[in-house]
Amino acid sequence: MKTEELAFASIAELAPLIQRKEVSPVEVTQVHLDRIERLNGQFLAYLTVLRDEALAAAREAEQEIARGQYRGPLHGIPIALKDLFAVKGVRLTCGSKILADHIADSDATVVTRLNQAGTILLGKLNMHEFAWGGTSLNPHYGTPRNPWDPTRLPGGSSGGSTVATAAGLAMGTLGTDTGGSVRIPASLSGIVGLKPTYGRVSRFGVYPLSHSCDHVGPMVRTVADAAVLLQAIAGPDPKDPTTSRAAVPDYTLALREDIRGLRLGVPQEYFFDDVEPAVRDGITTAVQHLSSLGAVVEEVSIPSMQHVIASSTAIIGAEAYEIHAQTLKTHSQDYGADVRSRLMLGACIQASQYLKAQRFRTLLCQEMLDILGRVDALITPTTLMTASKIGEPTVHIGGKEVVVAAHIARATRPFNMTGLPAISVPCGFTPDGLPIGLQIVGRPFEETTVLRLAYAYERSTPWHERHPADQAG
Amino acid sequence: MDKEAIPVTDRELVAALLRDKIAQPLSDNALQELARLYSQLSEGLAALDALDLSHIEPAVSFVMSEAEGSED
Repeated sequence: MKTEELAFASIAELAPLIQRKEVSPVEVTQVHLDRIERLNGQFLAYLTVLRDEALAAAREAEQEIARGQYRGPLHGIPIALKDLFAVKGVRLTCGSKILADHIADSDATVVTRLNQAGTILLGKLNMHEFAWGGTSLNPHYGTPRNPWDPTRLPGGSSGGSTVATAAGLAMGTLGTDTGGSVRIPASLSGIVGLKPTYGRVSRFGVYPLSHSCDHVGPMVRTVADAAVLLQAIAGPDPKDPTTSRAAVPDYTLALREDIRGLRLGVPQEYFFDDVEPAVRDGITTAVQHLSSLGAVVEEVSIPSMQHVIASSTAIIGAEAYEIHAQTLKTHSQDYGADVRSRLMLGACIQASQYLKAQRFRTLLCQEMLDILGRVDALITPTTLMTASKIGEPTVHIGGKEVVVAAHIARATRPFNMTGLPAISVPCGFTPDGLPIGLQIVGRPFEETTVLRLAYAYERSTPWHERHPADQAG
Repeated sequence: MDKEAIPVTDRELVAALLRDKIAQPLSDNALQELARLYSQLSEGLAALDALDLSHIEPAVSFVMSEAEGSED
């Protein structure tokens, strides 16, 4: 394989080559480290690069495989983590000035699991400060750049994760998703992002934003790679009491199943309000394509959607404030302006408002589960807009001015409220070459259905074959 | 109760709610903007009163229980 082929190969493609010793983990890791050195100054994806540690781990993986101790499809695969995941002995900034020099003293559970699977950690990735925003605008470390157009936002909060994955600076990454922070950047930067069911993946050792809305998920270039990464990190964890004991299925095996006869619901309210025309066209075409593959499509109605934004703002805001209360009291000036403002708004939310929002959440879950009793999955746009220019707080859609920071999360937030599994898969490009994301949402713990639909769509369309050009040459 | 101590606008309410919660006082502009956001949020939450939520339990210990039956 040539250097560029190695940088943009999928995990599923490369793993057998590593297993057969046709490609060395050291070679793959070196290719990625060289690209990071050459391109990170432009893309601002990494906050910490673990060059020596990565090469040492790659040599160890190479030796293990040479001895016949191949661990599985992630052995020798270079990955990176949003800088919200604790890695023992490594800086954990959360994209903040406040934790700029903080060193983690233990590993997050997902880090332990990835280590056991044999991955090579390249480094820690840039993000929206404390994950409290969907743009990745970062006043402390600079804003990571969308690889398809570096003048535009990559989406967030897992901005560095999506940039590293899309630009060939890692083979896969982990992000976190509290209001869409895996799926929004996946949509805007043209990769696959999976938010599993609440409770499917441990959050121990992941700096929290909102205890009841936080999720951990893979960000990768193909659906098969999402299955491989999810397999490694899913399952119960005694250190995280919110994790489920529900059985973890074989996600890769599920990809092979036919989608003929699966019933898909396309919600008519909310998800297409103030949608960019190119996004609407992309989703319409994708739905038609899924229908042509044998899925049965119907319109569905979720009556209470208009209350999602206020309710989720109250829940995330109050829970985030509780986490940051002490720091806000002593170091409020050290937060970026937007995050400080959101935390202060959270500080103003009263218990009665929080509980009212949580009552609504129960109702919303009931409505969605009712619908998912009749259909196997919901189909929506992931984001109602494509990547906007950095520095433009509002955009015009259909003659209406919308606030980017709020509009960007409109279609993703409902599924943090309900905890349902949801994936974003690329479904086309605008005439300007900006990616569009299709969101597929399933029943609780039915990631297999979500992955199966996304895989069938991806394998029969060309979008995953496109990669952004290296802007620096 | 001293009537003058009762907040009468969202701006005053927000200022009162933030008292002793932030390291540095807010500028007038920042306070005004926060009050605007708070008004917007309160209005959105008040709209929930149109739904009858009184019989619904709040999801305060949110867990996904749908598939717990299939334990391994």
